[in-house]
Amino acid sequence: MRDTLKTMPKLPIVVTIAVLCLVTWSCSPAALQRSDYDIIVAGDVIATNSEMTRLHVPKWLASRQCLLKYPFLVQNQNGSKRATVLLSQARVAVPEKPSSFPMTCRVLDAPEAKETGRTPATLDLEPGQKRLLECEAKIEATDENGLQGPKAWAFLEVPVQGAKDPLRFRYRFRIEDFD
Amino acid sequence: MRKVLLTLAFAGLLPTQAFAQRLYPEEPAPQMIGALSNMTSMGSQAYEGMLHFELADWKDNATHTSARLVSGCGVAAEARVVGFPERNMLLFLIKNTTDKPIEFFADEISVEFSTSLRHNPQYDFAQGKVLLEPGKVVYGAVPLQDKYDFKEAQWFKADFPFATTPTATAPDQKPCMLTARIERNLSVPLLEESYLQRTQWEFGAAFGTTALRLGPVSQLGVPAVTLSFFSDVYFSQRHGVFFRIFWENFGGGNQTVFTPIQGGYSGSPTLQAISFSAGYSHRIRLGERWFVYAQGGLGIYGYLYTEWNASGVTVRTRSDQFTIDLQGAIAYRWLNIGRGLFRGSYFVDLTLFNRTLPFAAIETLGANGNVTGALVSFRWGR
Repeated sequence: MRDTLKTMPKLPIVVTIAVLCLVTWSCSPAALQRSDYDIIVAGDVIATNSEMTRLHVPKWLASRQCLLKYPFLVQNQNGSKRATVLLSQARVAVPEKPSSFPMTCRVLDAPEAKETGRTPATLDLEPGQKRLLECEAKIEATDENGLQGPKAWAFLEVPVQGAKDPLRFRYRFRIEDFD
Repeated sequence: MRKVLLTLAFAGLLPTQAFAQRLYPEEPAPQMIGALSNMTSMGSQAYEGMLHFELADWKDNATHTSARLVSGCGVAAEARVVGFPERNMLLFLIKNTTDKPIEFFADEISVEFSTSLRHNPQYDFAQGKVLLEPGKVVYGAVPLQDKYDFKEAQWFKADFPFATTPTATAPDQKPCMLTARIERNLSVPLLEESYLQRTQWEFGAAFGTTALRLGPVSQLGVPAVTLSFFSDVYFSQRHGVFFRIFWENFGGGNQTVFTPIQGGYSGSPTLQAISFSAGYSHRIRLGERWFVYAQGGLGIYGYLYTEWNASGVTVRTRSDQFTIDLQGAIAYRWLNIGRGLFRGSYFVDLTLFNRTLPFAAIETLGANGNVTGALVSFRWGR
């Protein structure tokens, strides 16, 4: 037994264990984004974020620039009137911080989104029509911006023409060990 | 891989807790208020997991979802349709958008199909009546009665009953019904998995006899009583595997044929056979209730030859052999129970089988050949 251990090549074993540890560490999440399921009504428009999936950002990809991606479904529930979603005014609002960050939104499956990637300023929804939207923003994850620490959260706000309040989803993320 | 794991989780084959882990345990999650009994232990991830099973031919082209959003009665609601092998389900998410509590009568949800079918679905909700506090979100899954209702349906609507809670100023409850209508996408073809119920496993018992024996095996005597227990596992509508145990009793058999191997003991010798076989099973659905099965496999076939000596002690000769089994069956689903311990589909089958024993022998007595018979089976599947 002792002879067997003596003759075993040690370097490959050490290297293998080191590589496994490195891979495990680097793939563990540094940032993690999620949202609770919610349904929001703003004027004639109703929206749900159940299309939202968690976004795990592994350590080897993490940077202070945090990418927020937020898909959600909107539907005009008015049976006779057109509704307009003001996509160009979509923002990420951070609680207790004066700053907010602009978002770019696109209509998934819309021809303009596929071909040019351009964001339409507004989205008209015919009576009963529904659309899948995706808004995104790049935000520096710092204490100054209110987006650092294990329980950071923000609001995604998308105004609807004529509605008193915007569509507002709460968006949570956890950011750790960026440096 | 994720889809397979989720399917297993829904079938209760994996610890569902793994999918119920929450990132922020201190924060309230949407409350799940019920569904099938094997899903009640699932946590807040269940809703997300179920979105993977939306019926593809009920998804909107633009949004790739069957979701319908409605508001009224003081709530906002999302309704979808998801499909599993055994049944389809109405998936809903409801939020109180007012500043007053609202009562939701979860066990009184009803569903109406475009084909004039109306059901009060069979389901067990942990809470029949749910008090929705302001801002509270609940979700649930309602198993729909018969998957075949989706064959002709172009839409179905779900009615969610609510009532305002009595207050000092308004002591009477005001009932209110919120309706969500989900439509099939008629621009894509109807998919079999949306309307054909599929059991994932089936258990059964069969009895019958052999009608025809060819080769040396024919000298062992006919008819024999055959009893069989089987289990089928299906990975899709058509493809699966079967496992089958056969027991055959030849009775006293043809006594003279045993003379060359008889030990000269008293009493009549008896012969039994036990076989275990496994193989591929192909299942074809002919309609709402009729199925055809074609099965082929390999197995072990053992003869058990018994005599008694003068003091009554059993003397046995056992002979294990190789067998090739082929079977065809036509099955009729005569009962479908939607809830409870015995939920599932119940079938009665007529099975024809053929067993080939290429090398079988009982000591020096040739027992190889071809055996053909018929069985009547009762099977239960989920």
